[in-house]
Amino acid sequence: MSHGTKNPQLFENLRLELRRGCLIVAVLAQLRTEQYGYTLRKALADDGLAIDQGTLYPLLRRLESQGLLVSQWREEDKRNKRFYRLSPTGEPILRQLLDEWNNINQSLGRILQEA
Amino acid sequence: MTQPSQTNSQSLLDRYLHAVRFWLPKAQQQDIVNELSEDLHAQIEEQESALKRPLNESELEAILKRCGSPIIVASRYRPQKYLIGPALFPIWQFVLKLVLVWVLLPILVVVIGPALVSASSRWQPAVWQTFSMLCTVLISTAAAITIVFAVLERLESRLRLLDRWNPHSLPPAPRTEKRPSRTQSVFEIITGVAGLLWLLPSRTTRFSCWDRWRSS
Repeated sequence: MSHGTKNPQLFENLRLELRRGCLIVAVLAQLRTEQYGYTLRKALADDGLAIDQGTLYPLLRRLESQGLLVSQWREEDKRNKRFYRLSPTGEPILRQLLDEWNNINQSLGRILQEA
Repeated sequence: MTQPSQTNSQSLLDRYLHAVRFWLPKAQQQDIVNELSEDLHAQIEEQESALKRPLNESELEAILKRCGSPIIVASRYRPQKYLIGPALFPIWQFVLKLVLVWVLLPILVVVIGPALVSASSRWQPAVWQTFSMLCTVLISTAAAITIVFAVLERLESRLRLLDRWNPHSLPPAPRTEKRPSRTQSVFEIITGVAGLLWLLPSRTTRFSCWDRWRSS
C-alpha cells in the first residue's frame, strides 16, 4: 500500500493496465441494451467505472471494427447521436470473456486465501 | 452579456474540434468529430442546466482540458504504428552503435583525419574538413541504417519472420556462464543483419536463407 502512495505514477500505470481489459468487458456488457456514447459513459460512471471520452470512443470504434458492436446514427432530441449495441457476434464472445473473468477472479481469490 | 460569451465559447469548442480533426485519419474525420462534438455538447448542456446559466469560457476550458490535448485525443483513434518496433529496436540500436561508434568514428579519427592533416600544409582546414566529413558520414549512415530497419519492420509485421524459429537452430551456449565476448556479439549481429538483408530480394529462397542464417 505504501508503495502506491510513494510512487503514484507507478500505481497509476498498473491501475490503467488492470482496468483496460475490464473496461472492454464492462462496455460489451453494458451494450446488451442499445445506448449512445454519452449515456453509456454516464451509466458506467454510475456503476463505479468512470471512463473518459478519449478512451471510450476509440474503444467503441475498435470493438465495432472487430465486429463485436454495431452502431447507427439516429436523431434524438433534435441531435444526431451514434447508438451502439452488442452484435450477434459479440454475444458469445461476451459470455466467454465473462467466464474468463470469473475464472481469474476465483484464481485470485484462491491465491489470496493461500497467502 | 451572455451573447458574446456564448460566441466565444462556441469558437473555443470549434477550434478544439478543428484541432482534433487535423490529426485524425482522413476517412474517419467527420464521423469521429461528430461523435466527439455530440459528447461535448451533452456535457455542456448538462452543466448549464445544473448551473441554470450558460457556461463561461473558463468552465468550457475545464471541459476541454478534461477531454485531453487534441493530438493525444486524435492519436487514440489511430492504430499504434512503429517505424522500428520493440522487437527490432534493440538490434537497430546495437547496429547503429556498432557502425557509428566502433567502425566509422575510429576510421575517421584515427585514419582519415591524420591522413588529411599530414597531407595539407595547414592543419586547421584539415581538422575542419575531417569534422564536417565526420558529421555528414555519421548522420547519413544513421539515416541509411534507420531506413533499412524501417523496411525490415514493415516486412516483419507482415510476414512474422521472427516467429519462424527453431530451438535446434540456436547457436550452442558457452560452457561457462560467462557473457559472450564483444567481438562474438558483434559478429553475430553483423551476420544477423546481413541475413535479414539477404532475405529482402528473393521470396522463394527466403525461408531457407532464414534457416541458414539461424544456424550460422
